[in-house]
Amino acid sequence: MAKLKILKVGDETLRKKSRPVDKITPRILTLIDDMAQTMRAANGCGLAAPQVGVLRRIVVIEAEPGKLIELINPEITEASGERECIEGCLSVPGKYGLTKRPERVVVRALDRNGNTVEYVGTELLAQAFCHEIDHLDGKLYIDIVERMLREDELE
Amino acid sequence: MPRKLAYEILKKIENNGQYSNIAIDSALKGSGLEKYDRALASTIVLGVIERRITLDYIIKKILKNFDKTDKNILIILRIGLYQMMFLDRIPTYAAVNETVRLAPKKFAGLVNAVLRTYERQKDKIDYPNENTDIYGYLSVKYSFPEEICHKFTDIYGTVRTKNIFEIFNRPSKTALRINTLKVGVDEYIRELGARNIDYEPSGYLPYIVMVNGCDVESLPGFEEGEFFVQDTASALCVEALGAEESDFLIDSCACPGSKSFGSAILMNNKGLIYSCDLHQSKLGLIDAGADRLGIGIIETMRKDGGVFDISLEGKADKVLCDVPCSGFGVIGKKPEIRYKKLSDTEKLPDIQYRILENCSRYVKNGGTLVYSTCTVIPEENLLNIERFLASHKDFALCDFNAGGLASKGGILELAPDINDTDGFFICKMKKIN
Repeated sequence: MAKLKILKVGDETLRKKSRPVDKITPRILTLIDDMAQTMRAANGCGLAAPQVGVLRRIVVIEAEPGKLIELINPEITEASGERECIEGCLSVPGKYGLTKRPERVVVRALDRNGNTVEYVGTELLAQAFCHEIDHLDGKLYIDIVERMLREDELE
Repeated sequence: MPRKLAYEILKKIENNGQYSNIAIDSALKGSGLEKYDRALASTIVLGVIERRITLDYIIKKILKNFDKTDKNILIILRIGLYQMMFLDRIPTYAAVNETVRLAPKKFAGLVNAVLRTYERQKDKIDYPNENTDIYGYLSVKYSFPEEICHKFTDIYGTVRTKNIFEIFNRPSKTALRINTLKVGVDEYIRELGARNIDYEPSGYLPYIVMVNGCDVESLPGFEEGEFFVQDTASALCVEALGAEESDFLIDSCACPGSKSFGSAILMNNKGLIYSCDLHQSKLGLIDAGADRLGIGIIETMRKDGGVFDISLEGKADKVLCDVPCSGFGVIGKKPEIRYKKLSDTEKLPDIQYRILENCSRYVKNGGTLVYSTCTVIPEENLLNIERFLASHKDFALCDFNAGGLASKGGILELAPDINDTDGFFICKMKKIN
């Protein structure tokens, strides 16, 4: 297991579209493990592979401590409602902004054994699904932010 | 003992068709010999393979029934003669005595007689005449099959062929590509200096250094992934390809992986590289290498470079076709390549063309396609490019600079006598709309 370097906004790699995983090799599994470790070490609740420089459609999320979700080739199949969120990103350190995200989403993906899995996420988990899957298409939350928060608004 | 080991290794190569580098590596590791003896054993093995034509020419002059002589006795004779002819630091009596001991008792007299006859008559042996039989002359003097002498003379002329053969027969240095993801060039060179290891810069690329010997695992920073083995020519090919951060790159014939590794370093370990090869068994070496080097963006996959994968059509920023080839540019490192029959290499141009044509379809508009070989045969190089460009108007040659060398209209041919690298062919093309 290795802690990986997290790329920061301004790095071109964050703006690229990632490629789907066509075969889950031991290397892919190592990458997933390393991503989980990196996310936890950085106190994040989600991390996408392009954030560590690898242009692959892989996401790890831990919106609730101890509940690690690993997604390979994730897709949002349903989205409903709307919710105003406070959003941050490990690639945009120290900054937060207000975004609008769906209240509830359904995500379909592969797990590490190659089985199709489906997750229903509401509130923070729905937000995390959207945020991380956006990374796979080169999108950052600062592209859709309604306004960034000033430091004095953060407590 | 080192001669005994050399004898065992040569028997394995001769009788089981093992590759010299693999046979040497595996035998030396378990030998328990001291460093000096290991070096001598490996020098003898490589030397006997390299000089076989010369050695056999002389043995045939002395030993009348060469063809009926036991194969293993011939190996012993070559080992003895090689030391006498080419290893100045070994006195003749030592070479003879130690070699005679390798032979079974009933052949000891024969081995002794042949070696001592050579010592007595070495100035009287008649060699092919340069003026009347140039190919025979080159063949015996440099130990290359006549058809290879013919081929090289066609390409380079006699004078350059002699120089190139001379260089191929010199002990080759090992080139290290410093992994600048992990360590600075200056810092690594200081590490070599601190361990009293002699090195030379490559002359073209700051991150390549040349060292003696081939026991790279004992060099500083091996475990830590601070370098990998890559000849300057191969590194220049990586420069020509010019991978950049966040590229998607396909290395279609990637094993043993050094061009993928070099590209990943140029990409600063950001983006994605598909390192493909036909042989699953070799892909594990790339995975292990990438792990050692701390490279995360390489994914290995088993793929035939000549078979179309629609999911990759028009997807890659850069595609490298470092196709399987006759290898006549790397004879300096792999001495047995010289004994390949030209007739066995005749099918290669078509195989190479099929890979080039197929993989060209993976290049996106505006993307880069590099075709390379480690050979000097025009049919495998320029002629394949001409054939490709004639029927693919969506590709154009693209001039480049690599390590201070300028390509000629997108093509760079490296030769051992001029560039002090392996013989190598690099062609860079762009896909135009």
